[in-house]
Amino acid sequence: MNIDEIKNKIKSFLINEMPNNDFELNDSTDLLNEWFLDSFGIINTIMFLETEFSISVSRSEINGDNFANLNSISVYILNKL
Amino acid sequence: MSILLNNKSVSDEIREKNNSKHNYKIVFSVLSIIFIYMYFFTQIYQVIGIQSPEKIFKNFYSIEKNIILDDDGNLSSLLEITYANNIKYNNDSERLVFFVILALTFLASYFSKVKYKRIFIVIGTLLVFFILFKWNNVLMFLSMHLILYILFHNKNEKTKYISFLPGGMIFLAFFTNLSTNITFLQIIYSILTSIFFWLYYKFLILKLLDDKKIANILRTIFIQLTMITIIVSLIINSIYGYKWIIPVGIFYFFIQWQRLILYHIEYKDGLIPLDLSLLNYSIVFFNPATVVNCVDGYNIGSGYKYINNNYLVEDKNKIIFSGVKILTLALFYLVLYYFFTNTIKILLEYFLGVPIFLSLEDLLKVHLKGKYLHTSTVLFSTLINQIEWFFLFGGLVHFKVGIWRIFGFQLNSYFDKPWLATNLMAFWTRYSFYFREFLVRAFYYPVFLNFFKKNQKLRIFVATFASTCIGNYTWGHIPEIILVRGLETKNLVYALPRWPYFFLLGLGVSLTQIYLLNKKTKRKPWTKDRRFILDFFYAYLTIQFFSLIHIFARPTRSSSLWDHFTLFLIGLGIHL
Repeated sequence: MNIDEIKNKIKSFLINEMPNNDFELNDSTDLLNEWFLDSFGIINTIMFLETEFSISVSRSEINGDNFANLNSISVYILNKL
Repeated sequence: MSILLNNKSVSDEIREKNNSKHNYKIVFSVLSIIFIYMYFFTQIYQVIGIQSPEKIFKNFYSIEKNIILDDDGNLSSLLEITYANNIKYNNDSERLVFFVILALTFLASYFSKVKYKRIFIVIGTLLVFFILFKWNNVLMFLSMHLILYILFHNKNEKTKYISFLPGGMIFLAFFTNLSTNITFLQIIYSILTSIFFWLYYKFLILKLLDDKKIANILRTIFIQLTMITIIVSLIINSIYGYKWIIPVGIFYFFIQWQRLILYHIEYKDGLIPLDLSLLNYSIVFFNPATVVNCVDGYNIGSGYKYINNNYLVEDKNKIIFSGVKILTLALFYLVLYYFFTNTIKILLEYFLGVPIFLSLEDLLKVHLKGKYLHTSTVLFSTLINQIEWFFLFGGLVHFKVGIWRIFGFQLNSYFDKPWLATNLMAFWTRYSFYFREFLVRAFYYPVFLNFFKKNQKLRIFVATFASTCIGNYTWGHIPEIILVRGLETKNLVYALPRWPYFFLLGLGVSLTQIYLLNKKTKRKPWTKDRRFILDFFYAYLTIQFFSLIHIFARPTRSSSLWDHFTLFLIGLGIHL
């Protein structure tokens, strides 16, 4: 799986499961400030990532670097695969 | 949670740039707001010969009881300095000392370069501590933190020099009276203790810290010293009846246990540099804001990373002005809470025609006497009681956040208009942001990331319940109550009957989480559309639920769990 495929899957999840009319979702959209409405957004995303990519997320990996935007999440996933 | 994740640290060059512009209007505004606080909360009005706050209030409002006023003409509030259970000072004088040093520390910090700012903040904190609690307690507080520092940052080259300090400091703190006199022999003893401690650290502790497992055990024991002390003290108290009165210096260290736990979590997650300097360590735990009423909102600015990442991230004047604004808001809360709640009470009694009680204790007393209580009485009394607490708690934590901000830390508000929350989950975030953050990192994540991965609903429910009920009860309120009231089993007995409150809160938040899991909506609450009115209804329901379950949070000696339960049922419209 390459990074674009990962990105598309995550993007599709965010748009469908956590719709947000106020912002356009692109690779660098600030997810923490502009997309996730609350903490539940990250929890939902973690559950999706674990199921979709068969990975296990640890506490130290839940940070601003990995979850900053679509690009950083995709790189994080790619490194885990 | 997402809010705490989203900051990245800025370089020292950017911090220096953000610190370079001085604005005298900002300085004036900070000093002015500190002076207004001094006027309302100290006796400075006598010194400068102006009207007391009491006289001004009485021009506007008839106050029957001394609810918001001291007996000396100024305001009584949660802005207490001393809360340790073995020391009594005049609180007005304490506040005066605090505000004067706060102003001086602000000035020193404001006009200094970035590398000196933190030094002034730490010195200012210690100065408050020294004047209020004397040398012995300063040394106790410092030595506890120094031990913690050398246990965690043994990789720092300077640690071998720092490890020389705690031994002598502990000796001076516990075995001398530095306020009166100190003998030559005591100085010799303190140096010998320092050498002994240094040798002990160098030849034993450092070797043990090389082993990861042992190092982790040692660090965990030190971080959990608060809980260990409470448990051991309660056991000793129940067997021998002995009650240990914690010295203030140790008390202030213990009361920071949530901050300590978060520090440990971040350390284990690799978020704190192993060779962190002592000064950068100190800034997490030493701030004038942590001295004021150490019992409420002591976890503001928890963790190293969050504090470091929010330090001088933009022009200092902008951050400081946001601090002035929140300090002003805090003042309104602390000054006007009684007028606001009392006015609502009068209006409700007029329109509903039923008695409303400002105090839950008064409500319970009437219930215990067997008198009939209308459901509206229970609902609105609990609601008003909670609104009053919103003002007091909000005022206090806004005050603390304001102090952090005037020193250049762009911290989030602890208390963010909880009345706008349209569900319990949102309420929990808005009501106690930093405490929730502690619970999420210490309880939610470990459960969520390790258990029930195949059943998402169960996974979320259990993780939420573990944090909002179990974590909140055991690692939040019980240690707090026992630390503040004293290390006696009777205080454990006092704390334990509150469990239904935590159970109902945990259940409510957990079920809300499950509900939100399945809910997909593009609409944000308070959007002005046809569902706008429903937001009011949901907001009321949320706060009313939170208010009503507080019936269980105020147990008294004369009431049983059944009494509280039947009162709770009346709130639900069920009269047994």
